[in-house]
Amino acid sequence: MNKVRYILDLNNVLPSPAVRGQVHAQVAKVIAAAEESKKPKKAKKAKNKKPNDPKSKRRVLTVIAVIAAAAAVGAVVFAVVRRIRETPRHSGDDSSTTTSAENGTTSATAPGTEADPVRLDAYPVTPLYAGDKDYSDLLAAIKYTLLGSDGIVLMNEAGKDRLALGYADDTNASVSRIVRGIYAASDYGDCLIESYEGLVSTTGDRKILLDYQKGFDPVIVAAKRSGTFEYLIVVDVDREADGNFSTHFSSKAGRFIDGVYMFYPDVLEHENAFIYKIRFECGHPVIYDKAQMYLGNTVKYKEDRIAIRESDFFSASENDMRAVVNYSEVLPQQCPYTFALPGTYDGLDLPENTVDPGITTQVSRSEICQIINNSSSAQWFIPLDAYTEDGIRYLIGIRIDYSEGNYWSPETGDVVRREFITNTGGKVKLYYSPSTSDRPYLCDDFSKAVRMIDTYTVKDGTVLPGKQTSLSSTFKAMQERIGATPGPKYTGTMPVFKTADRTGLTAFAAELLQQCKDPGVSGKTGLFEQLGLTVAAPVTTGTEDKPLSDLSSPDIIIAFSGDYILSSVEMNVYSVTQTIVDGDGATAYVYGVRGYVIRAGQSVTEGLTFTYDGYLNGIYWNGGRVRGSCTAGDGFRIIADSDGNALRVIDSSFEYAK
Amino acid sequence: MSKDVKMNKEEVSASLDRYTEDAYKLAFILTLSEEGAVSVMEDAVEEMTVKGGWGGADEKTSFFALICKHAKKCRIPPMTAEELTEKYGKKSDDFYALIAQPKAERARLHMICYEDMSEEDAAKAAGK
Repeated sequence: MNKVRYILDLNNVLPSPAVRGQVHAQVAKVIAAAEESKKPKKAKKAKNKKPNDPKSKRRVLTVIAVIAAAAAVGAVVFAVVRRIRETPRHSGDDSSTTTSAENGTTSATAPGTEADPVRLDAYPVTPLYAGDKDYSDLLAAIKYTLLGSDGIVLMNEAGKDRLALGYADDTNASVSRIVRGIYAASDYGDCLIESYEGLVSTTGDRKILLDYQKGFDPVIVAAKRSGTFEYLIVVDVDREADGNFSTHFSSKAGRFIDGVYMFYPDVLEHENAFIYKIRFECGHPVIYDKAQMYLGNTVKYKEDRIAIRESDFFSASENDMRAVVNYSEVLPQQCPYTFALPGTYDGLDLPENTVDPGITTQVSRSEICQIINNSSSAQWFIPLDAYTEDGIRYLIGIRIDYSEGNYWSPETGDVVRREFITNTGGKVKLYYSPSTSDRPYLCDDFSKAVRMIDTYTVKDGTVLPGKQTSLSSTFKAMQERIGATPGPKYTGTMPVFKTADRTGLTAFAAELLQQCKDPGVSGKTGLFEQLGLTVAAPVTTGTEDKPLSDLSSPDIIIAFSGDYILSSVEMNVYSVTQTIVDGDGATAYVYGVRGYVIRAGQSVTEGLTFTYDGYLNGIYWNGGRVRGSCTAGDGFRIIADSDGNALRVIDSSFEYAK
Repeated sequence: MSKDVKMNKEEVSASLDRYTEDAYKLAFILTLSEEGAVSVMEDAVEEMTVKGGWGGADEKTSFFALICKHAKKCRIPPMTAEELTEKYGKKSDDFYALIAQPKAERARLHMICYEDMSEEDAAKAAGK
């Protein structure tokens, strides 16, 4: 209850004296009108009185006077009400303002009544920008999985079943690619899936995730494109055998006829829905954000189609989403995924002096990776700010260098801590709780720990060599100059580690986390184990080294299926023991591959071509670099633009070329 | 004006004085606009008065339930995030957490807090 009261701190929401007066005036008017409404009856009775009755005459005169007064009062009342109700939605936006009468809807119609259903282009949604888009993966992702605010993807039982099916039969749709779509949208870009244990007793989104497996389906009822993003309004429906369907909030929401959902107008008007901000990347829908929204005042009907007024499309929280989108200076072709510096962090074990997040700057993964790879010692670059001036993009942040001997060590409970030495000798503590999230959070005030900051310049998407090192006080001054609020507290984003020596950093490396949870890693803590599934691992060739050219069985080497073949990357891979995972998460092991070259657009051998979905999921190696309990090893990562052009292969241990 | 009507008006005014602040808050968090809150309150007062709902033991519950009812029908658009921020100041993220809730949930939370209703009664009054 205290929490509820805390949430409902509305001290600054108070009626003004004018509002109080207005409401009281309304009472007076209503009472007066109610009183007058009784008098015509008396007048009617008076009509039946004998006209010569003086008493009756007086009454008639009185009634006439009262009726006139009532009419005057009524006119005022209705004028006030009409003025309020006909106020345009937004001043200056009257051209497209639509009243309820114009909509053909009846606001007095209760949801679920047998009003004429409005035919909607409910599903599938017409693709909104170039190319044919398939929304089935997106809808499946919504139905089976949930990306929590902590960045963990939860999967319901139906999703697990589907995953198992897809694993056993690669012709079956697998949710692994669905999950990729979701996790790509998370802040750190990697997949950490947890079973939905405990979901039953939860509410909110998680309850909806359960509802999906009970029969609800997400239906896209409207969409809008903004830049490279699409905003989709999704209403969940539960269809009965008789064609009627319900929503989470309306027991009788409409009828499903000829493959089209026919919503009763008032249901949509008073329905809550979710708005998804997505973007297709390399053919996959990627969910970037999600918010709950109220459809009232947003959904309009015109010519049997649902229509969304631009100015009404976004309401409070969605406006915030749009602001974030518009803020970004990162061009989509620079990198398919961008770092959104976390606005929240896991609060379970936060010390009191935890750095307060709040940075909204977006820095692309590509930029961070370039900074790290251009340096001989940087392990992590924590962006603090980014801005563009005279065509040059400046990235300002803290470079954290690797320092021998500062490994993760057990802390309280399962929280581990690593103390980093920054490039200027300051110490920054990072905390990580593997049981709650793979997102680290920061401790200590950066302004105390960091005395120097680095500034990198970016031109045409490439981080230029060299950097400018400044005092952190200079950074604050710089922030003031560009109009930002200088803050003593900064936060960072997910670290991107180089491979120089990651011993002891297993839990912190995003790509290792991902691989640890890959399906089919027999005997390891993999995705299936995480989800409690018991599915046989795929057949492998054993553990002895074996040249790739000797592997001829198509049952072992699963050719990657997908829509992209590397076209601009050549990697000289040396001394590789590798695991190959295809685009659907199925795994084939190829051991003992030594020294071969993957060239642009080539089918390397045995029909093996490489596709990727933003990451190269296809090649992992351990090469004697076993990382803790995760024997799947490290992974190459290919950074690609939205058109599928590989920009960079991330892994400094291997030679790569563009 | 008859004595009965006069007394009724006094009762209504007294009740309004008691409930105006919370009623406005409820109407505001449901409509997310000042204009909508006033409109909803006027509609609720009108129906309450016409139906003679004032003066009963459950007048408060009835009044707030009517606010929920009319808020559902309210067609005045909510203020934008910018307007809300400008007008009320982003004093607390909790306020934004609240307005991010579905309308019925906002109503239920309000009633639990400010009307001291049980969760069940609040849900019922909020139309959940």
